[in-house]
Amino acid sequence: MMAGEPVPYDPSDELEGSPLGRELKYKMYLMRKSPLAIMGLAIIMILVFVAIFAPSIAPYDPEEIDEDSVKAAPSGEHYFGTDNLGRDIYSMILHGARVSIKIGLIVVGISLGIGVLLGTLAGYYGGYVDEVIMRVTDMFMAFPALILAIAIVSIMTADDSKADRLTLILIALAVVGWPGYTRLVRGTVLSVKENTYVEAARAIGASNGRIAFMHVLPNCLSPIIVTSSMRMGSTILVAAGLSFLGLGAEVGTAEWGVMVASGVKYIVHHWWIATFPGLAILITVLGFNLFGDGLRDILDPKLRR
Amino acid sequence: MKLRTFIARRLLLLIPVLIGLTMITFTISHIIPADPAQAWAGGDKADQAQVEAIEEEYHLNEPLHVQYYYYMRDLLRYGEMGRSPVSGRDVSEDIKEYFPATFELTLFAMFFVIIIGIPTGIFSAIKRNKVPDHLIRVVSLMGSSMPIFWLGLLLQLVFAQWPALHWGQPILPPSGRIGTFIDPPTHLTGLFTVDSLLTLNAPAFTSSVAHIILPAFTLCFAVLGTIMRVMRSSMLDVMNQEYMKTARAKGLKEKDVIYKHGVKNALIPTTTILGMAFGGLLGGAVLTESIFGWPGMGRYAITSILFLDFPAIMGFTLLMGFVFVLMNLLVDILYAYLDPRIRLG
Repeated sequence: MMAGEPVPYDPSDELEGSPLGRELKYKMYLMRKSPLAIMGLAIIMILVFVAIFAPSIAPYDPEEIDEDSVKAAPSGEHYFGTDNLGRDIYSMILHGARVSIKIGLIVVGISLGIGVLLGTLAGYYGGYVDEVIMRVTDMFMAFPALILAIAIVSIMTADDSKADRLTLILIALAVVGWPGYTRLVRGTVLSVKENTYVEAARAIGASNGRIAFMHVLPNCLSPIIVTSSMRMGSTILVAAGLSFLGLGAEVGTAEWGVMVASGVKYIVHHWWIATFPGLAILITVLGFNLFGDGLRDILDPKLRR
Repeated sequence: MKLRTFIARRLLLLIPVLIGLTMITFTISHIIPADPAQAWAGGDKADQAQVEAIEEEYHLNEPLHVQYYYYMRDLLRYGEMGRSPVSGRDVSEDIKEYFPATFELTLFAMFFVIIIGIPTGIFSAIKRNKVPDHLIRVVSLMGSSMPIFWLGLLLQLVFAQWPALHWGQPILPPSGRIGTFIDPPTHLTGLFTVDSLLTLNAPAFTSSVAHIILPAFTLCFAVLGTIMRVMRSSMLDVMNQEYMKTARAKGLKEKDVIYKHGVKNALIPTTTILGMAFGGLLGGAVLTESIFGWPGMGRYAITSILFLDFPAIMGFTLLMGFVFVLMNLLVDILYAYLDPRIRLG
């Protein structure tokens, strides 16, 4: 072996430490070898940073209306220009990251929770439980996601109770999101529960609930994590689409979909108003997709090629 | 199982799913505490007698399950979905007018998906882990990450609005289904491109094709990335199979090995995904139509939402669910036909 050439990693070199730790180390190693996943992770980390510190790093208040510089082109003063009310688009985009991340996290969290619970029950217990849960899941999956979300949001908006518009999108997207998780978790549980260690756990007298949630579920995590990353992306995309249609965040807020919609009227002469927020959506979703895709290659040995 | 038995079984299984569809749409559209009768009669200033008449017509004062019974009865017996308080017609009439436009748009988008997604997926797999493969993978992930409403706006800007501004002539028309001064073709299928072709109406044909290119290309991005990735990975699966080695070993040209033995088998899993992709296209159509002024179901739905037209929203949701379920059924049948293991196994 020539000097300076990197030594190929062999996981058996490090026999010390717990098996889980070793596996994790090996996966970290594979992760470093996947430039795309690293890129995705970098985008996500920047995004989270921006979302947390938006008020400190944004040069302007996103709601500050400056009548002297309406629809100003991108410049050193306003990096991405200003919108039709003279608000700084760069600052609005930074603040918009908070909305998108919040929607993504809450929706994925809720649908994940419901999906894991129902999927584990269906997959582990089988029989009638499985049949009932899966038929209901099928019904919900019989609608294209965006269309079901549109129907739910539109009907609920009609209610005069003045519920927060953002809460409505969260509910709609969670209703649309859980069936996919249920199906995924059920499928994984079905294959995992055939393993010998499940039989062993049963032999030493573990209860069904304990086996299902302490032994089977933790071994189903890989596909769940991968899907969750991709789901963060697609949820942000659908939420932006709903907002663009006027069914999501309130008009005038610093939300990316709303910002694109507000730029439509001026696009011919003031392209930047709609272009930059759209670019923010694209890059954000791409980050989650790159990370999820890279992660899948790492976590699923069959795809490691 | 014979193919015929398989189809019969799948058709039977369709019934509970369809009942489920109506139940979900019905529940969603009727659980709200808001008073639609009041809204349709003109809001706060509504005439009380008129409100009562509307409540009577839509059975709004009956319990939920009775309302559901009436809805299903009308739907099954007369194919009616309730009168839209906005258009004044039965929702099914509205659908007949708007659905062909959406269907045409979706078909063209599917066409773009297939001619772009499948060859690039194959190419990517053949060049596995080389530069073109990495490029295609990034591009396909970008496709999956694309907000199509934004892409549509930019395409409109670049191909229609800026050329019109600078050269006085757009490269492709920015909106609508057909030129303003061109009569729509005789109504046969409702698909302008097909109708004009069948009636040999050249001006209508060129105009309708020119109008559909931008929206269909935009819409195809809703699912293009997925198709590219699925095609790549199923092609990779196939290339590891023994019969590929056999084909090479017996001295076939690489081109024949890839296309005659590889692609044919790799297409099977991709076909299934196309069915699911159809749902993505239907959803994306709502966004695309609102940008390109395409007079289809998506625009109809958005208008209905603005006017609290519940029968229309319900009809739209139901129809989209129905088309989606039907497409998945067709794909399943196609799959069983292509891969005998499915129906025999």
